[in-house]
Amino acid sequence: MKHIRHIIILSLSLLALYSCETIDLDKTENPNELSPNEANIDLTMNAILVRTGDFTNTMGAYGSELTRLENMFGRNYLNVYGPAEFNLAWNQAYSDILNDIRAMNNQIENLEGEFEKHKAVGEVIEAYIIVTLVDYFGDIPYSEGLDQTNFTPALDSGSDVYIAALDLLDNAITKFQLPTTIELETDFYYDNDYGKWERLANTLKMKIFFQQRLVNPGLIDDFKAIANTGNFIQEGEDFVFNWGSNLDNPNSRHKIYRDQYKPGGPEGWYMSNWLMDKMRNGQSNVEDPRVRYYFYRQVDDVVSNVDPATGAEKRCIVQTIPPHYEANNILYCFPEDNFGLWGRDHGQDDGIPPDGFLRSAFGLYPIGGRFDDSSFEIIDGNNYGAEGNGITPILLASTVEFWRAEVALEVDANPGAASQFMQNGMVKHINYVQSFDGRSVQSFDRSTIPNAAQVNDYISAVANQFDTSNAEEQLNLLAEQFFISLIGNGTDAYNFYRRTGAPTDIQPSVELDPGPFPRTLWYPTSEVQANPNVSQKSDLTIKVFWDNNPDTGFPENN
Amino acid sequence: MKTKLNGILTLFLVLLVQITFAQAKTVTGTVTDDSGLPLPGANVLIKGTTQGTQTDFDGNYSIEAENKQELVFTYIGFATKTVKVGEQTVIDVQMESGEALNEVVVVGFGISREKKSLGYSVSSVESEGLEDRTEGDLGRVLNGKASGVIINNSSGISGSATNINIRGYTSISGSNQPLFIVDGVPISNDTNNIGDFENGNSGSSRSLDLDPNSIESVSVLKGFAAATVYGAAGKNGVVLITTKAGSAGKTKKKSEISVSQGLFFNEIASLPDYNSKFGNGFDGAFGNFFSNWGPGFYEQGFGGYGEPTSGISSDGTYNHPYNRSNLADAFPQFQGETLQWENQPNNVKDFFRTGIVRSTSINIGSTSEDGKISYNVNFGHLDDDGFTPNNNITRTNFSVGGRALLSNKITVNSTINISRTDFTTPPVALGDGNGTTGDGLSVYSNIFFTPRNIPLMELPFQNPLTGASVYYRNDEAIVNPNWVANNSFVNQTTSRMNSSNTITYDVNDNLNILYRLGLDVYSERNESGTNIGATQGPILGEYSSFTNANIVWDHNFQINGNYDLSDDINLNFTVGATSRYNKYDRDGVQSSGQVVFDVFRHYNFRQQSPIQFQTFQNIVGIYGVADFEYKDYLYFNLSARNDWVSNQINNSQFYPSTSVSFLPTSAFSDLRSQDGLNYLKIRAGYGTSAGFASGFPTVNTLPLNTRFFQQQGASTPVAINSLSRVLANPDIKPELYEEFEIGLEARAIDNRLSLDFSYFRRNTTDLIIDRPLAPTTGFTSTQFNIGKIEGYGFEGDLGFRVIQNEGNGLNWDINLNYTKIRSEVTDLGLEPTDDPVDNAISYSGFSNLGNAAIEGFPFSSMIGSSIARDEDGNPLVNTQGSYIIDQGPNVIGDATPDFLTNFSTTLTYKNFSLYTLISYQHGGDIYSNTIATMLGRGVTTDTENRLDTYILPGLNPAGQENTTQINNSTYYFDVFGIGAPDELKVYDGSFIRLAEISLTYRFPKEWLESTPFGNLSIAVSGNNLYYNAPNTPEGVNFDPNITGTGVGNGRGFDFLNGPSGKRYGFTLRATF
Repeated sequence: MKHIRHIIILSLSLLALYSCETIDLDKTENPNELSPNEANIDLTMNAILVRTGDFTNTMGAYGSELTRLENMFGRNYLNVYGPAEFNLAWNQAYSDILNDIRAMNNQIENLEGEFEKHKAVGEVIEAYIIVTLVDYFGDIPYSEGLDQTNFTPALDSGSDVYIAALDLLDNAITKFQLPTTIELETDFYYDNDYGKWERLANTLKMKIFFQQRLVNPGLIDDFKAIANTGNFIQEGEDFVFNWGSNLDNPNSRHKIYRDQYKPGGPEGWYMSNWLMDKMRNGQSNVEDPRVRYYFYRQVDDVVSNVDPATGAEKRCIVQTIPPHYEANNILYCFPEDNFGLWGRDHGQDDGIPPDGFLRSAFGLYPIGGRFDDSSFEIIDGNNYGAEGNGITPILLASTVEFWRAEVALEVDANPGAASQFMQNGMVKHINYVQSFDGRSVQSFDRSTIPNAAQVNDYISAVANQFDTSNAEEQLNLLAEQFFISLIGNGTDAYNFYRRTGAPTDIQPSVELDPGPFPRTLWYPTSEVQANPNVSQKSDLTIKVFWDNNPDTGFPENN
Repeated sequence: MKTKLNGILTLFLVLLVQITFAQAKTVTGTVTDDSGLPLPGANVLIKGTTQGTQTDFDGNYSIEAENKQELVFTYIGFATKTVKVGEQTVIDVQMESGEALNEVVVVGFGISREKKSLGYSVSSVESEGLEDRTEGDLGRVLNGKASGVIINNSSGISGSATNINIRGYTSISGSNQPLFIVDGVPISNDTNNIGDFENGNSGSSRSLDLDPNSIESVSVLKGFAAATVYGAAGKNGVVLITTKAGSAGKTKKKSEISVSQGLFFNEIASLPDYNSKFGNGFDGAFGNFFSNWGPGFYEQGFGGYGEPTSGISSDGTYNHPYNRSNLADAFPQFQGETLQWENQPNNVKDFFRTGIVRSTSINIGSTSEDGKISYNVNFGHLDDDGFTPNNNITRTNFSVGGRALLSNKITVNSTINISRTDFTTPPVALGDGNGTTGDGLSVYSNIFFTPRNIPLMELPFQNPLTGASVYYRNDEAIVNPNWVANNSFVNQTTSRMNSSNTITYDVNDNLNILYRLGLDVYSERNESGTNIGATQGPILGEYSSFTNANIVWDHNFQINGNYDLSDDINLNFTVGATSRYNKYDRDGVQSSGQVVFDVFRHYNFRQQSPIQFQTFQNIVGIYGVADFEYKDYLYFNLSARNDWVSNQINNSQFYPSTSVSFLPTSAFSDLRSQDGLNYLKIRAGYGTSAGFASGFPTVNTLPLNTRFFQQQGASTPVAINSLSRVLANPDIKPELYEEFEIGLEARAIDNRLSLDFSYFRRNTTDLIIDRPLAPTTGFTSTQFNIGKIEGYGFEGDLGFRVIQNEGNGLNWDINLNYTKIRSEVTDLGLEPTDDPVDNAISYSGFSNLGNAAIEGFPFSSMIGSSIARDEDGNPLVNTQGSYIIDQGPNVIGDATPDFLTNFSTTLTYKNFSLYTLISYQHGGDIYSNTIATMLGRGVTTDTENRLDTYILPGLNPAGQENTTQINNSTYYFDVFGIGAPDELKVYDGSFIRLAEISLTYRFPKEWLESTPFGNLSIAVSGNNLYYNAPNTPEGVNFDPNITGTGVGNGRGFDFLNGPSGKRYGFTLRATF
């Protein structure tokens, strides 16, 4: 029997030999991902640049909805957007974009002096992101943020963040002026033209100075100093993110296009009745030349497409007009001339009726949709117009003109100059919008494109009205024109609205008492739940630092 | 020597080896009760070893033993008897009744112990409780059979995952699913979902691969004291399964073949009671809405279609939904057509079908004449058609096991179970009452709120030209449920083999050495696809195929000893070392952009992306157990284990346990009397265990995406790399569990009354949490040791033989079990905030609607939006008269039930036996999208009253009492329905259920004498034939036993993804 013992021992050692893999206790590396030290700087830069477009698209929609550039779906400002709503953009800003910028910078530091353009572009992006976050949320964690050893970054005042952004921009400008050692592999914005990047950095500085004009009037001189040099983005140098038209893997189309151009018809968004009406009927004899770019009508008439008995397709047709609309003669339900523009009123949150093949879709500008050539076809597929090859505007050349118009009107009390700047802005923007003709893959009836005369007529009509109006009306008119130019990203509209309170005749909510207008947004749940230094706001009347307008009752007409 | 070596090595590889080393002698005998009747199934154990047998039907046994050994005879209800073998070869034993429950149960690693010696609670379920059930999933069969065990279905889909929890939740981020041990070796019970609960959640739990008919017994080890030797893997309790194959040789029996054939019907149980009065529309007017708030099916009177604004023609017809210009080419036959405005009472009912479930089981067992070789073969086949169209599970099991006594020194046991499980279902995903919100489709998301006038089953669901979905909404905002059922599928085919192989070498009478090798491998082939033409979700068509390969490779080396330290003190000990290697690999391809309709091969898709994922973990442990026995009434156990794990840097954890069992009725025999107390045991245990982090938590990662974005005009996409949002924590250490348990077991009144009661407290410290990080840190979460969960619970089992008669007379047994488990998050280690919800760590569902750990709140607390209230708690109402919503998130419920109880009765008379299991759950909140959708859409009888208007109590924006009236559709939609704050979609989930009922008739022996049958029985049985959740709206007929978030730590959420089913049918069982 003795040999049996040997056999057992032998067998066990054999098994132990085979079982080596089972007792290896040092297997901490993750086979599923790269390790951070394997990063490629250009691949990091790609992530930063593409996400900047996406982030702007997400945040810009809040601004758009609050300023009636798009329909806001919800009756009470308090909960139109819950705190969890903002996790997406906030997490993307900090945990993806800014964290990748820091990681990239760390990597560059170990490479001694090269990649200065990467660093500079990162600084411009960072400045834009943090200024945008301040504009929407007020005070934000920044100076203690992005540090793996500090889990509870404290809030920085918005004004400090603005100062930090200026520093970033100044540093970036210095680097843009240095000789280029290594270009960006893929520059999604300016194709490695660092002169344009430098002008963009200057324009962002202008934005930072200008934004504070209520609380720090002296900075207007800094604004003007840059304006006078002309060293800001010019026509053709718009800072926009270009979406592609690739449908699948990756779906690179404009995010809104993805919602709107699909088999079941446009979804997810309604056009704003107010904006459509202003553009269509704002001037008595001539419509805004951008109407056909912005809105694609699936029907030529609203009323005849609604069952008059039931209002099944558009219930407001059969419902009584809210008393506060009726009393103030406010546009209700659809633009007055029944032109087929099918949108919603501000705050309207009725259930979604079967109107997928009826409602107006986003058009060729800015999302790369379909140009409205009065074809009145339903949208029931994925490939129309420019197939999603649209843009998310981040900062437009026209915007600078509108800022200068506001300064002329509100600071310098010089309506004449304001009128000129406003017209410059309109021209620049209309030119830009009209440049989208070429993007449409689908052919359309080009005779419906507004010609130069129609464009001029419109601009002169607005200019005439402006020149003959009183100061309040002038501000409202400027606001309208500025807002119209901001479709696709309402951030600057939301800022303008909180800064000036104009336009005062904007369409109020269909809810009689929707609660105070949000002066900043809720802090995102993801931050509040994890960071004891960021407590949720008590309500939405907490203002951003540059807003010294009254706490309540401002802006009027909400 | 060399040839012999080869020969012996072969032993490790073969199943049955018939080489015999003659040594010990065979002892035989008969065991009888105090009246001299034979006792079948009495345990005969060689003291101090794991070897034993059971008596056969005639009370006879046969066992290999040596002269100096002692035989221990045990039988429930009788005193243990120990007899020295000596020179005897025949030992007949007459048992004495009185002391009870000297049952032997399997505890750690296949070691048998007398139940009276255990200082902790173990529940056992024998094969009678598992065989011939209408459900083929072991997890579901166990439901209600053991106290302390809570089992939830993820849906009524045949083959869908099953959530099992023992003694509550101890971990937030880690798994709370128990360890499955089959014949001594661990097997995987993973649920490998295809997608997640939002995007589609259709994976099976791998316990499904076990055939309940092939199982001899299940022991459930609930506490840490019981499970310590299993290490971290056993922290959530252990389900110890002994298969019939694995128990070969434990019972000596003649060659026996048993065959059973079941045939069952499977129907939907939770079909709502539909409104028969109103059809599609809103505010009394017809329209192709999602909602059913349209005009009545009657002409005259309030809300009737005769009203001019009803939208229904005066002849009682309405426009055929396919009578529209964009379908003119596809459906010329419907152009200009109308439909009668009438109720379609069975439109949803007819969507479902009566599934047929066929199960076959064949078992063959035999022991050689000398008792040295025994084997068991089990074959099972299950073909289960779900009540949902195109849902089926087909499973084939084959297991074979055997034991050979090579000599009296070496015993070899081997078991192999193989199975093939083929699971097919249409996709199931979260539904919000409008459709799905994720990337996928769901067969359930749209069906239940089908407007009452839609002749669903008569409408074509597919565009004959394109294959695309068509349905009543002209914008196709609802995917036709028939289209989903027929054009989208999930398929999971699992081939699995697990095997346990043990060789035991008896060093001497007191010591043996054991080596066990376990292997569990499965390959899960997953395919899912959707044709092009859905109007939501994967609209371009999608197809993915991938294989999950999993291996658990387990070695266990053990030394068992048994020594008498003195006349009164006996020591039983085990020391061992074990290693467990677990590796999971997923590889495959995902494609999108279908070219030719209905062809699911990757070449037919335009775009491909790889699917690849891998994880592995090695755990090495050493352990020791010592059991001291003082006389026959005091037992003391000490056990400890140290584990080392491969994926952490702080990777070592030691944890001890101890327990004690005391039998006053043995110590003081005066306590005992025939009609008074028969048996009393008091026990106490302290146990610890540890949990390790999953994945690779100590390293930061950099995800790379090669197809992130494609610029206009570019021919290839740009790639990115970007830091993971998950921050590494190199300091992560194991989480620690502690439990204190006391219990009492008693029998009285001539053993007619039995009681087993336990109370435990348990807490977890150094919890490993996927702690959310403030995104401003650059990361959104990290695995972190933090905080504490404390819990307690009661478990009780009460049995009473109400009527007792000899022989074939009437006997009535009742059993009641009771479970109450509470656990609370007492510390999250975070800085306190004014509102603890600000620090909530959500771990299941969404961050603003799901389960969250909140300091000072129970585990399984639910968070979501609520009614906005002023400082005094008054609800705030807007000028429309609806509640203003506070998005919160705020605490909206607690999903932990107050208690669960199961009542079973067995009534036997002559050859009939009637078994009933009734389950009751008290409390436990559930957020129900099903209810919200049914009420909000106005489809059930609950919403038939359309006359009333409502004024919500609360303050309007002006601060005054709300006086704005709202109509019924607004009321149901905004207050209880889809537009309501989450708080108002939460219901008390109490339910009562007729879980099982069966009537068995056993043909009398004398009838069978001239037939080949040894036994023949027929049973009629049903499962879930009745349930009622009294605190939910009656017409919805909601079944709260559902986990809408899938298998995991979530509880209390239903996302319109799990109707429940009922089954009934019969089984024929015969032995030859």
